[in-house]
Amino acid sequence: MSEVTKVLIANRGEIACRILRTLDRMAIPGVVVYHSVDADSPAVKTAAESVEIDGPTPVAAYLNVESIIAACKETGSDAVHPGFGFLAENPGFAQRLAEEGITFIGPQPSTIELMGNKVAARSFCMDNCFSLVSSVTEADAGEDFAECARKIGVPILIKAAVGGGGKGMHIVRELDGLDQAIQLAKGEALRSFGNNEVYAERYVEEPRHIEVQVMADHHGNVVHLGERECSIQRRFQKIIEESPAPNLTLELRQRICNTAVEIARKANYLNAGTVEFILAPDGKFYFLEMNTRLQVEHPVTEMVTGLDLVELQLRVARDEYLPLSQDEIKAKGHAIELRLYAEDPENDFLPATGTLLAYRLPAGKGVRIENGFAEGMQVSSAFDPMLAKLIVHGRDRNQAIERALKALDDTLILGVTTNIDYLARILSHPAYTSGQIHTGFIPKYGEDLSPPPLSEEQRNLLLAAAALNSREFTDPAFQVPEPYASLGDWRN
Amino acid sequence: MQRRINLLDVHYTVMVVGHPEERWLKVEAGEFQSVALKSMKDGQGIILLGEQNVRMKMAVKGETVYIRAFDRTFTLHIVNPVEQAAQETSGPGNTARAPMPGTVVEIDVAVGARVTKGQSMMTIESMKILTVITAPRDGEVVQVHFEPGATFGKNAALITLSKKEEE
Amino acid sequence: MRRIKSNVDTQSVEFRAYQRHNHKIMTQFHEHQRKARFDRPERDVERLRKQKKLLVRERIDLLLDPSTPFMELSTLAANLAYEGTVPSAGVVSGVGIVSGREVMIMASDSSIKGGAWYPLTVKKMVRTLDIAIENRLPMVHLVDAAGAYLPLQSGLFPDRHMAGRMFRNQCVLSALGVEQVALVLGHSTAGGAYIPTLSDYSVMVRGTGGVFLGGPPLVKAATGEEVTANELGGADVHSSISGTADYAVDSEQEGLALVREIVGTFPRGTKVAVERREPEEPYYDPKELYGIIPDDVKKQFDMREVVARIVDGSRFHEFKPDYGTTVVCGFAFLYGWKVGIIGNNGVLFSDSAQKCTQFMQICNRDLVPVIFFQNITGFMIGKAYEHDGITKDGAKMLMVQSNLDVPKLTIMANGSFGAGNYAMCGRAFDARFLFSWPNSQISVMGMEQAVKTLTQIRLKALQRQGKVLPKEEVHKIYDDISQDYLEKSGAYYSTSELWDDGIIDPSDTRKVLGISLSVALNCEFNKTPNGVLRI
Repeated sequence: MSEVTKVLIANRGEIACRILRTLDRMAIPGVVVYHSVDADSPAVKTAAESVEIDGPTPVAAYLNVESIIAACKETGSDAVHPGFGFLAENPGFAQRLAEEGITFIGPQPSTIELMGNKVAARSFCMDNCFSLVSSVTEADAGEDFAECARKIGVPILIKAAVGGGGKGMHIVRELDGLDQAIQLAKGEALRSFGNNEVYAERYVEEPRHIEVQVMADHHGNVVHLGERECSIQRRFQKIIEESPAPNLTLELRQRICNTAVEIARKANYLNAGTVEFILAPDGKFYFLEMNTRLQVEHPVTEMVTGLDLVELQLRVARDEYLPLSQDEIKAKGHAIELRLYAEDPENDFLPATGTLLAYRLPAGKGVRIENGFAEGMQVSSAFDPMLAKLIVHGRDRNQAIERALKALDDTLILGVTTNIDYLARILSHPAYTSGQIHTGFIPKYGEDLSPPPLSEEQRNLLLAAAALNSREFTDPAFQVPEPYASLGDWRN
Repeated sequence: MQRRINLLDVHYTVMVVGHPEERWLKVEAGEFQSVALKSMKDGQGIILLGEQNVRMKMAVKGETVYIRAFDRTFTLHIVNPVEQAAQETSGPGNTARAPMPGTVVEIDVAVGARVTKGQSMMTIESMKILTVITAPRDGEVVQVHFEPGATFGKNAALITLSKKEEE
Repeated sequence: MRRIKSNVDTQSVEFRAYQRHNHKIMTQFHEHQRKARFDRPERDVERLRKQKKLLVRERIDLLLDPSTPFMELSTLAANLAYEGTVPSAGVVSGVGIVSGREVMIMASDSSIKGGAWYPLTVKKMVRTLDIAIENRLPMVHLVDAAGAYLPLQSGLFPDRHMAGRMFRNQCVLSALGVEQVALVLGHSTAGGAYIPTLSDYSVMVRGTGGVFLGGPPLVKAATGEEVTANELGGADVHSSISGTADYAVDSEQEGLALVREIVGTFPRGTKVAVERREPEEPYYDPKELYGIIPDDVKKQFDMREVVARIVDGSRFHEFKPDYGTTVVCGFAFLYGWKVGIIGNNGVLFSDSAQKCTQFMQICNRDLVPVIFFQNITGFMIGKAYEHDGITKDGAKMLMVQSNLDVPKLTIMANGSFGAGNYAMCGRAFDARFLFSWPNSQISVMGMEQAVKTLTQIRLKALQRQGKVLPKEEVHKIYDDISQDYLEKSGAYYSTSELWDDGIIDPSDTRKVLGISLSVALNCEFNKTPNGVLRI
C-alpha cells in the first residue's frame, strides 16, 4: 500500500493552487517547488512549505527531475503530483520517483510511455480494434513515408509523433505542399520535443474534439465521468471547453464514453486520464490520443459531476477503491471553461507580456476561478501565457453562456493584453450559442469575431481618458500660466 | 499640453488646455470640448467629454494607459515628442527592437561587428516561431542586449548600432 | 471699484470719422508688419528648404506650446534703414510659453542675408537680452546667423552697446541664475559661436549646425589646414569631442522638441506678490479705441476713455480727480494684477506734476507697478509758471519716476514732445517695455514750432550769404523740412531705430500690457522705506 502523507507539487501557477486546495481539505500537507520568478506567486504564498529550484531558464527549473526528487527528500514528501505540462507525461520522471520510493500520482510509467508516443498509441488501438482515422507513420513506411501519405488523399494532417499542444501540426490541402509541410513539422517537432518523428493522417473536415474523462483504480475498476467538448481552439490549442457536448444524442454520447472506458481498461490504465476523439459531422468518431494526466479543462467535469478529481487521484494513489460506481456518477447541468490568456487575438494570438496593473476576477453563483496570478505580478514570456481559468455552471447551456458572459464582464485585467473580449465575442456568436461548433470555428468566423470598429466619439472618449490619466497632460508643472492661457494663440 | 497618443496603431494629436477645475480637449483638428475625469475607487472612472459621459476602467503604467470600455480593452500610449521627432525625421533608429516577446535563440553578430542593412543579427523565438532580427541600416554593433536563452518583452532593445554616421 | 462711465458716443460723426481714419492707419500697419514677417524672395526660401531648414517662424511655432500666444517685439525694427532690405533687423524676438514656462525667444532669420548682423540687428539683440536681464526671463536662442555684415562692421562691433554687449549680457544673465538654452541650426561663426557656448544648454543639429571661431575658409587661409565644416565644428564634434555643445540631434524638429524638454526642466518662476484679484474683461470694447484716437495729433481726447478699454472691468479708482486735472492718476487691475495708471489729459502744470509725484510714491511704497499713457505736449511755459516753480515740479516728477523700484510700462498713445516724454517715462527711463501706437509721434518739440524754427534758421543762413528767396522756394524749404521732421518723429522711424519695443495695434494694448506685466513681475522689487510726501 502506497503512502501519501505529504505531497509535493511539481508544478506552478493555477494548477499548483488548485491541487493545494484539495490537499488542504483532505488535511494532507502540500509542498510547492518554485523558480525565483514565481517567488511572489499565489501558489508559493498559499503553500505552507515551498522549496526553491533552479535551472538555466525558469521552465528548465520545473523540468529538473533530480532537484525535484531532492526537494521531496528535503521536505519528507512521499508523493508527487505533477499537475499538467512540465513532467506530467514524462515516463522517466515517474520511473525515477518509483526508484526513490516516492508515489507518482498518475498512471504507471509504461502507460505513460505507451500513450505518450502517438504512433505507439495508434498501433495499440489498431491492435485492439478501436477506430482510427486512416494514417501512415514514418516508422511503418520508412523511406516511402511521403509516398504513403500521398495515398491517404487530401486533406492530410501532419503531426509530431510525440508531444502535444498543437506544435508541429500542419494541414495539407494540396499535395504539392506535402513535402514542405513534412519538413516544417519535423523541424518544429525536433525543436519542441527533441524528436523529429512525424506521422500523417486523413484530416477530418470540420471535426469536433470530444474527450472523455476516465478514472481507474488498482482494483480493476474503470469509470468515465462524461465527455467534454473542446472544439473551440486557436493554433490547435483549446480556449473554451464545456460539458456536456452540445447537440449529441444520448446514444452517441454513451458509445463514445464506453469506448473510452474500454481503451483505458485495455491499457491497464491507472488513475485519471483523458481519451480524446475526433467526431466527424457524420457521427463517426475516431481515437485521437490519450492524455495520461489531469487535463487543464478538468474543472468542467468537476462542475457537472460534483466530484473532486484531484481527491479521486489521491485516493487511487493510496490504493483505495474508487468511491463511486459508474451508475452513481451523475452529471447535472452544464459547465463551460474559458481560458484567460495573455495574448493578442487581433495579432494572431501572439503571447503578450507586461505587468498586471489591474487583476480582478469575477465571483458569484455558479462561477469558479482557477488562478495563479495576482495584481502587480509580471507576465513574462517564460511560461505558457495562460493567466487563469474561469469556469461557470448553469442549469442548462444557455444559462451557462449567460453566466460566462456576465463573469467575463466582471473580469478586469489591465496592463497585459488578454483574450477576454475575444472570448465574449465567441460566446455571443450565434454559431456558438446554437452549438454549431467544430475545431475550425475560429478561422471560419474570424471576421465576425474581430472587434467592432470604433466610432469617432468612442475614439475621442478613449483619447480623453488616456490624456487625463497621464501625467504628461495633467502635470501642473507644464500648465500654461495666465494671462497666456486665456489669450489662446494670439499674435500681435 | 499637446501630445500624440497611439491608439490601435494610429497616432492622434491630442491637446488639453485649462486647469484642474476646467479643462478642454481637442483631437486632431477638431473642436475643443470640455473634458473631465471623475475617478472612483478601484480604477473606475467616468470620463466626461462635451455632452457625453462614459464609465471606464483604467490603469496607468508610465506613458501607457490601459482602458476597458465599449466591451473591449485598449492600450493607449502617449508618445514622447523628442523620440517621435527623431523617428519621423531621421529614418530608422539606432536600435533593433523585439517585434514580440520571446527568447533569444542565436546571436550572429558581436560588439564591434560592421553590419549592412538587412543583415541577420539575431534569431528569436516566440510561440515556437523563429524570427530573424535584421539590421535596420548600415552601422556598427555597439551593444547586444541579451544572451542566448534570455527572454524579453515586446519592444525590448535587442541590438544597438552606432550613432548615425555623418553623410 | 467704480466702472468708468464712458462719454463716447459711438454713433457720433466724430467717432465715425476717427474710426475711418484709424482703420486706414491700422490696415497700413498690419500690412507693413505682414511684409516684414512673411515676404521673402522665393530664391531664399528655396535655398533654406533645400538645406532641410525651417523658416524662423515655423521654428518658433514648433517651439511654443500649442494654442499659446507669442508677443513679438520690434517686428518693424530697421524698416526705414538699409533701404528696407533687412526686415525685422533680421532677427525675431519675443515672449512666449515653452513647456509651460515664460521665456524670451531670440531667433536669427536666415532667410534675410543668411541672418547676418547689421547694426540694428545687434541693437535689437542687445535690447532683447536687456529685457531678459531686467525681467529674469529664461532665453531660448535659435542660432542660424552668418555673422557680422562686414561693410557695416564699425557700426556694430566695438561700442559699449554693440555686439560684445550681447555676450556680456549672456554672462550677466547666467550670474543672475536665469537659464539659457541654444539650438544651433546653422553655422555660428566667430563671435556668434559664443551665443550657444555661453548658454547653459546647447543643442546642435547634425549636418546644418556648426560652431567655430574660424570657419573652414578662414582656417585654410590662416594655417593651410583643409577641413570640412563638420569635422571642424559639427554637432558630433562638439557634443562628443570638444564638449562645446551638449546634445546632437538629427533634425530641427528633434532639436526643437529637445529644447522644449530642456525648458520643461527649468523651475517655474514665482511672480512678485502684488495685489491680485480675479481677472475680468473690460466692460467697454477695446475696438472702440479706433473711434477715440483723433485724426490729428493736436486734437485732445480723454485718457479715461482709453483706460476704460484696457483695464479689468473698465474699473478705475481715480486719485485726486479734482486736482491737477491735466493728468489722470488712479488704480486699476490688469489681468487681475493691481496697477497704477498715469495718463495725460493735456499739458503738465505744476499741480499735475505734483499729483503724479505723490501718486508714484504711493505706488512704489505699495508695490504697485505703474503704466504710463503718453499724450504729452510738454510742461507749461511762461513767466507765471516759472515763478510757480514748474521746472522744479517737473524735476521732482523725474526724480521720483526715475527711481521707482516697481516696474514701469509705457504706451506711446499719441504725441510725445519735449520734457514731457521724459517725465512720462520715455525710452531713456527704463520702462520694462515701451510700445507705440502707429499714430504716435515723438520729438523734442511740437512739429509746427520746430519746423518754423528750422525754416527760419535755414533762411537766415541763406540771407547771410546774400540770397533772398522767392516765396515759392521758401515754401519748398518749409515743406522739405516738414517732411523730414514728420518722418523722423513718426512711430515707424521710432520703431525702426528701436526707440521702442514695437508698434502695436491699440486694440491689442490690454494683451500686450498683460504679458509685459506678467514678465515684469518675475523680478523681485523692494518696498522703499520712505513715507509718502504730500507735495
